Amino acid sequence: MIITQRVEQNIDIVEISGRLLMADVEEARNSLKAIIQEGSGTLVLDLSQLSFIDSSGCGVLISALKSIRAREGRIGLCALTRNVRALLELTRVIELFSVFASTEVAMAAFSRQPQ
Amino acid sequence: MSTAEIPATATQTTASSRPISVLLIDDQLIVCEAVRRMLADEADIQFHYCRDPTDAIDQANAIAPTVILQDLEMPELDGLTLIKFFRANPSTREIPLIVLSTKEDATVKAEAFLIGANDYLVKLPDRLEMLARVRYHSKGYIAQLERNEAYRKLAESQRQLAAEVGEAAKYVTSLLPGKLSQGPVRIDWRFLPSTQLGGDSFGYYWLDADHFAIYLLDVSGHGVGSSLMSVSALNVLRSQSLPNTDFRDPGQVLRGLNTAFAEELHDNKYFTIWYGVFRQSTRQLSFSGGGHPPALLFNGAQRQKSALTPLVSTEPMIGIMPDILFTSQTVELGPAAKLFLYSDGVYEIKLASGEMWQFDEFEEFLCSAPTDAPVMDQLLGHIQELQGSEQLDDDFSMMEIDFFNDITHE
Repeated sequence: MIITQRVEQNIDIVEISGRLLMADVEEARNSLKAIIQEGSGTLVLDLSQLSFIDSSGCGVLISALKSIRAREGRIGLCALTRNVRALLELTRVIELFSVFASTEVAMAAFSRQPQ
Repeated sequence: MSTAEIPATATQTTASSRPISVLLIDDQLIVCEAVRRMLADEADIQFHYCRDPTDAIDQANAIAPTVILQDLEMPELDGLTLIKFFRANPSTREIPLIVLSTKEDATVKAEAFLIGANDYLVKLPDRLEMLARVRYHSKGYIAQLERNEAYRKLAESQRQLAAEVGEAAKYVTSLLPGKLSQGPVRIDWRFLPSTQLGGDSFGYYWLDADHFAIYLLDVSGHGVGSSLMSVSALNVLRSQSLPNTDFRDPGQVLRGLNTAFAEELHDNKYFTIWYGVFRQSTRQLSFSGGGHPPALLFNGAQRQKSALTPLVSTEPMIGIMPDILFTSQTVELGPAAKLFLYSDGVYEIKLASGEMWQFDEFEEFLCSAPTDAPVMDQLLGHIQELQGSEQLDDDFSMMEIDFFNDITHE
C-alpha cells in the first residue's frame, strides 16, 4: 500500500494504491487521520489504483468517514476498482459515502457546493 | 584464599547503567595491587581480586563481574584450563575474559582465543590501555545483559498477554450455545478463535414456540477489547434487553443495537451482524444484516449452486451512524433448507503466494465440496492449506443450519 497526498483547489486528494489489508491498517488510518485533521475539510480518496481491500481495510475508510464527520467535513470515494466496489457493496458501506467515477468528477461536484 | 573488594572512590550507579565490575585472578599480590591502582580513581569501576585460581569460579559466581582479568601462569591450576572452566560454567560463560600474561607468544595467544578468551594483554599494560579495554569489554557485556533482560521481560509480557487472550477465548467459547442435533432446526458450528482474538460471537434460541432467532456478529479489530465488546453485544441479544424491541423483528433488533451501542462503540470500533428469525408455522426466514457478509441459503438442503440464495446485508455496520433505519427482508424456505452463517475470517484468506482468496471462490467451495464429510471441516482444512499454515489470522466462526419440515419438537 502506498498513500500519496496533494492539494488542488483547497481539496485534499489522497491516492491509496496497491492493496489495503490488515497489515496496512494502522499506517493508513494514522495517515488519513493526520491529513483530515490538518486538511481543508474536503477529502477526495482516489482509489483507482487500489486493487484489493479486505474488511480491515474497509474499517480504514470508515475511520476516515468518522474523522471527517467529526469536523463536519466532506469525503468522496473515486474510481472504485471491481474488487473494492464488490466489498463495499457486500457490506453496504458504499451507502455511507458519496461515490464518483473519477477525482475530476468529485472535485467538480465539491467545487460547485462550497462548504 | 585471599579475595578482597576494593571499592572504587565515590562509586555511583544509576538505575539504567550497571557499574563496571572487574575480577582479577592472579596469584601475585604485586600484580593485584598494580591493577588496583590503575583502576582506583575510576568512579564507575569496582575492583575485586582473587589470588587462588581454585576459588576463582566461586568468586566469579558470587561477584558476577562484567569483565574477568586472568593470569595464565598460576600454581595449582593452569590458566588455560581455568579459561575452559569459566566457559563451561553457565553464569560466567558470556563474561568477557582478558588474559593477562607475561608471555608475548603468538601460539599461546591463539590457543587462549580458541578456548574462549576475548582479549590478551601482556602485563603490565599501560594504564590508559587497561582502562580502555576494561570499559570496552564491560560495556559490550552490560549491553548484552540489558538486551537479554529486555527480551526476557518482553517474552514474559507476551506470555502473560497470550494467557489473558487464551482466557478470554475460553470465556467467549463458554458463552456459545450447544449444537442442536434434533428438532426442526439443527445447528452444527465451528469456532476457532485466532491467537489475537477476532471479536466474533454467535448464538441462537427459540424466542417462543414458533420463532427461532439466529445471529452472528464480528467486532472490528482484534484483541481482548474487541472480544469483550462482542460478549457485551451477545449478552444484550441473549437477555433480550433492548428497549421497545420485538426480537422477532430483525430490523428492530439491529436498530436497537445501533442505538444501544452508539455510545459504547467509540474510536475505530463497530461491529457487523447478521440476525435472522425463522418462523416455523410459515417457514419464513426474515433477516437483517449490518455490514455482514451474506448468509448463504440453499433451498432444498443440497449444496448446489442452482439452489443458492445469498441473504445480503440490508444496511452497513452497527456503531458507525446513529440514524440508520435497519430493515428486514423475508425469504420462503422450502421443505428442507440449509443456511450457512459465518464471519469474514472464513474467506478473507491470504494465500501462501501473497494473493487473496476471493469471496466467489469461497462460495464455489461450499457448492462443490464433497458431501461425505462436514463441509465446515473441509473448508477449514482447505484455507489452512491455501495459506500454508494452520494458524489463522482471524477467528473462524461458522454455523451450518438445517431447517426441516414436518418434524415436531423432539
